Amino acid sequence: MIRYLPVLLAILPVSASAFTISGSGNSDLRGWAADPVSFKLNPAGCSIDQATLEQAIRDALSLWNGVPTSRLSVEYGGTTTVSLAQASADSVSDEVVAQGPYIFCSTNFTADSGGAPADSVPGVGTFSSPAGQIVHGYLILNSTSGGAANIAELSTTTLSIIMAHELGHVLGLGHTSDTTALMYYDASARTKLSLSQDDMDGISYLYPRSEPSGAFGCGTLAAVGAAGKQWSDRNSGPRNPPSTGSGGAAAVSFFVMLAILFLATSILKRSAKRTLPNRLSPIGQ
Amino acid sequence: MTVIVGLSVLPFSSTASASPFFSMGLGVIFDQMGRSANKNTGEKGLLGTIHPALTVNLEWESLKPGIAYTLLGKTGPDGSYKRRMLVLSVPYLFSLGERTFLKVGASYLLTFFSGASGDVTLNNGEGTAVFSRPGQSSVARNLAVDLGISMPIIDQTIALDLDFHCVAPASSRRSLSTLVQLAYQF
Repeated sequence: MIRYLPVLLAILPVSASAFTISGSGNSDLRGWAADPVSFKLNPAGCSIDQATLEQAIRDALSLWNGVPTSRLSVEYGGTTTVSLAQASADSVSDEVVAQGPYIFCSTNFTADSGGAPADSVPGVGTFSSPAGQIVHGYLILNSTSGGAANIAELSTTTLSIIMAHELGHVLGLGHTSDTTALMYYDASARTKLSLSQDDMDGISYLYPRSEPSGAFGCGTLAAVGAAGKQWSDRNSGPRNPPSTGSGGAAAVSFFVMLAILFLATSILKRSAKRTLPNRLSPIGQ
Repeated sequence: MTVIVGLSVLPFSSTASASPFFSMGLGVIFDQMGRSANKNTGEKGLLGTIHPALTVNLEWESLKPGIAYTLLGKTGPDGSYKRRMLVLSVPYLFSLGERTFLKVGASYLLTFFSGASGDVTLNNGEGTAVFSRPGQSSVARNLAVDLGISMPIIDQTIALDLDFHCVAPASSRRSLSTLVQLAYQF
């Protein structure tokens, strides 16, 4: 087998993946508790027609819905009249929070986004997580007249890419150093709407899938590290029970499955032994 | 789709073993084949994410349960997080000929994510911004249906196994992982 080692070593992965969580000091962030997360669009002020924008939203949401290792479910919830001013207010109302997250267009993008240049940034995404879990968020698309990064200047594919990137921020992801990732800060080279392994790892970290559903908790994050704080100490919002992170329940499931298969095999073999002489006897005689 | 390909050292016999015995080997997991972009244009690669793995198998009766674990895991260049995989599989063996088996069964794929915590400064539009490295551990669990083949390749003690693990075959989250392993029988 030694002769195969060079081959195996040659294909050792050289990873460039390094997803992050949006914002500083958010290492312990959990994603949205809502399931599914339903995005609402306020089409006011948008520099492209609503149908095109909605198609881009659906394409982008579909991308995030397709990660095999993630339980995340996102959907387009239709239009709303909630405004950016209402959603970004210092004391945003519970009603506005409950209806979100939101997608807005801004004709004064630099001011509304907190200083992002309208000539180079087509969109921004943000969220708030007062208790370590995302409860409110929105993204703003650049519809500034004359702005070089106005979404009206983008192809439909690029619009979907920008939409998916900003949705990633609202879902909790930050930028990454992986240049192949959707969450890389510069999308100018990107021509395909797709996720890299880094993107999928990031969303799976925040929203891990747990199958069979409900049998082993709901696949949420487990606290680790020197702090050793209990989950309940940090969580005041609604959430699913944490997983152990050890895979112990998975092992139990595995051995149960194994036992069932052994049992089935034994039954089949015993059945074959009983019936075989009867079938052979006419020939033997 | 997720496909796991493994190369392991496996026991060989014209029929499945009546008494249990072990085999160990080295394998490679090609995870989520054809799903992830590997270029900055967003074009997808065929092989997916590649994980070297250690494998342990037990052959007993017509079953050959096995474990594949990516001991080294994958780590980002700045050590921000580590990704490991554990694949538990239980295939049923159908003899195709001398020492060659078709494997049909189920598996449980666990993907572990563990973060290094702390902050990191990255490009953000025209300037830079501070982002957070993941600070917790997380486990994604997927059931899969398996199809594979086991065949001898060297003497009587080393076998090549090729296993395809299909996750969520009827949904948009469908993925294929392949495990190729070369295993030695003890």
